[in-house]
Amino acid sequence: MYRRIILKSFKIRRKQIALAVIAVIMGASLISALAGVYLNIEEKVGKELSSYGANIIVKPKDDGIQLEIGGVNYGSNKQQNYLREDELYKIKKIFWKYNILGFSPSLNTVVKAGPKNESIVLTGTWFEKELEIPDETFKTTKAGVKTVSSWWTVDGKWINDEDNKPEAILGAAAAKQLKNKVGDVIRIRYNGKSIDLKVVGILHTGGEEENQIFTNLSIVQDLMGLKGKISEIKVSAAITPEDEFAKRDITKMTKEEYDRWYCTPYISSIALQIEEVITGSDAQPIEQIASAQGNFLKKIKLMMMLITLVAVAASALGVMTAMTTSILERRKEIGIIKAIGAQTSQTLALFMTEISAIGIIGGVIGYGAGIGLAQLIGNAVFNSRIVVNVIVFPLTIIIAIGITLIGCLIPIRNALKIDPVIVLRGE
Amino acid sequence: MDKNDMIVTTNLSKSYDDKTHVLKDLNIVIRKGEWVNIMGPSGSGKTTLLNILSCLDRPTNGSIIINGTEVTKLSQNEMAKFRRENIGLVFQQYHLIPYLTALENVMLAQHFHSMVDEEEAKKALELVGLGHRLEHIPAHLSGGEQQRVSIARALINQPSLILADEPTGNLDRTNGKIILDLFKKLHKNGHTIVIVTHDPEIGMMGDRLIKLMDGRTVDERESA
Ligand SMILES: Nc1ncnc2c1ncn2[C@@H]1O[C@H](COP(=O)(O)OP(=O)(O)O)[C@@H](O)[C@H]1O
Ligand SMILES: [Mg+2]
Repeated sequence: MYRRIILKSFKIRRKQIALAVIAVIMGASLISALAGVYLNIEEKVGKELSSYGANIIVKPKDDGIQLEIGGVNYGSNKQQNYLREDELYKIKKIFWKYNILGFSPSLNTVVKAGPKNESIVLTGTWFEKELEIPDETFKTTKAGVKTVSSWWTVDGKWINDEDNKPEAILGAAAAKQLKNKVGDVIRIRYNGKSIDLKVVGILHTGGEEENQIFTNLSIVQDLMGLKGKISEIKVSAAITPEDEFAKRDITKMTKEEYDRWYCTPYISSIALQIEEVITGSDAQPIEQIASAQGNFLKKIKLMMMLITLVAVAASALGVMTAMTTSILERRKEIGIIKAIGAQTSQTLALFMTEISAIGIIGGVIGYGAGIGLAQLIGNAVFNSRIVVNVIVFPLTIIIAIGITLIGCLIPIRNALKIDPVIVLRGE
Repeated sequence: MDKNDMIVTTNLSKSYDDKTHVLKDLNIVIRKGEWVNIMGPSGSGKTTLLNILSCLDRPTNGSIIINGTEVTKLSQNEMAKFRRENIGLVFQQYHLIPYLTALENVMLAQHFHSMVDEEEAKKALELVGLGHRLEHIPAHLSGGEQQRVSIARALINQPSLILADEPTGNLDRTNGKIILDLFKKLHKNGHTIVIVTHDPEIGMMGDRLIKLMDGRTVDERESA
């Protein structure tokens, strides 16, 4: 009986119901799209932000005082320590391996270059190396300067990590200083040894790297007699903004708190996880970049929440308009129902069924539309698919019912106030 | 207060503001099983009185005891409950739900009262001679048929009291007669009936006639 009344009253008022459902669909689709994106945003924006460079720098632990000028380590008062090249793959095996977006090892030293024996920094590194990662489903990963400094450009060509040819890429400033161009061969002298490197490209970075000469890591290792050694790793990690919890002293955390901290992609917990796998390393967040990334994420999230709020409000307003009209048209019917003995709770029950129906139908359709919208946003903004979290569906349905409830609050209050004596006085 | 009294009003009055005193100190007694007609010129307060007796409206002053219950002391919800247990309402404009069939309109009253019983609802419609119109919506029924549906709806929960406000007011003579015959049947079965009417023919039917004028009873006599 009950279902029959509801279905028939739906049918008779399909215009208003349709309007209410459409209002819910609009709200629900925007909410599910934003929720879908929101729950993906750390990864997506993280990747986007990683193009602003590495946010963790890993160096050998050294008790002595480091002497560093212009990004080059001139050693310390103690013996220089190094990191091991053969441990690099472990960075992609930490708990937050999927958040490691790129890393680049390097070994550098000051050499004499060119006919005038000018002092210049020679950096051996990987450019874009396919690195095998044992026992992982992704099998390999790309590492090298191109994975952490994606904005670097080269006139000429990049060096291929695999062919180990004696080639060099000159920073734009270094090229100017040495008066070299692509195709030239330059002589490098170090500790009585010398090698000839063919210039294959001129590097533009907008930073101090433009003063350096870049070549294959193994060439510098050979030159310095440091086989398998590296002096620095730059890591680009997708991170979550540091909150109050992240700033607490980890030595004073309980076991559960520590686990929670460890399993949150804070920059500090990722840095610690890297230290754990790279022998003798000291991983430090580059605070400026990390906090800029964190702030940017926070702002985007805040903006998305505001948009969601506005969407909910607009949607509820739409529902309210439709329901107000609907109830105005049903005044007499509600009066009759009350006159033949419906109590407040029974009148309310009639509306609640209607509300949940509108909410659920609007929510389900809105969810479908929202997933599509999320993919559009993913494509347009992040150039990749949005993986929709399972929580988005129940969340959307709950919010859709919430929207309908809020939108119906005033109309239903008015409906309950309808006085049969007045509406049935049909003169 | 006699246990044979169905309705007792004491100094019942109703005013909408300081100037419009619609009902003035009405003292009416209607006994169980009695058929009372209320007549009076337009605007004399007949509908207002009937609404108060129906527990749809409240008086400004005075008391009403229906079937032993002081209804002025009931809350809104208790009034609704009391109404569906004790009173069947018939309106001049029928007041059926337009998108429900005759059968469903009757079943709706069952739904709010307790449980839906389709067989019972069919029987009620058969009783008013509409066994062949169960699946018609009001728009596809004549005025007389609609009023018979509304009588079936008023009867479905076995109320002891039937209140009707100009039940034949919108009907032609033939249909009016059918409705009247139904009321006669109900009266014979022991229902207490109060009918507000303009129709002198009905006025002559019941046990008693109350004439209202400007919110007062001006004449009260046994019918012929
Ligand atoms: N809600 C109201 N507010 C003010 N006056 C009303 C209201 N309802 C009815 N009245 C007045 O009460 C008087 C009696 O109305 P009513 O009971 O409908 O008379 P009847 O049914 O005898 O024609 C009329 O003068 C009418 O204008
Ligand atoms: Mg009237």
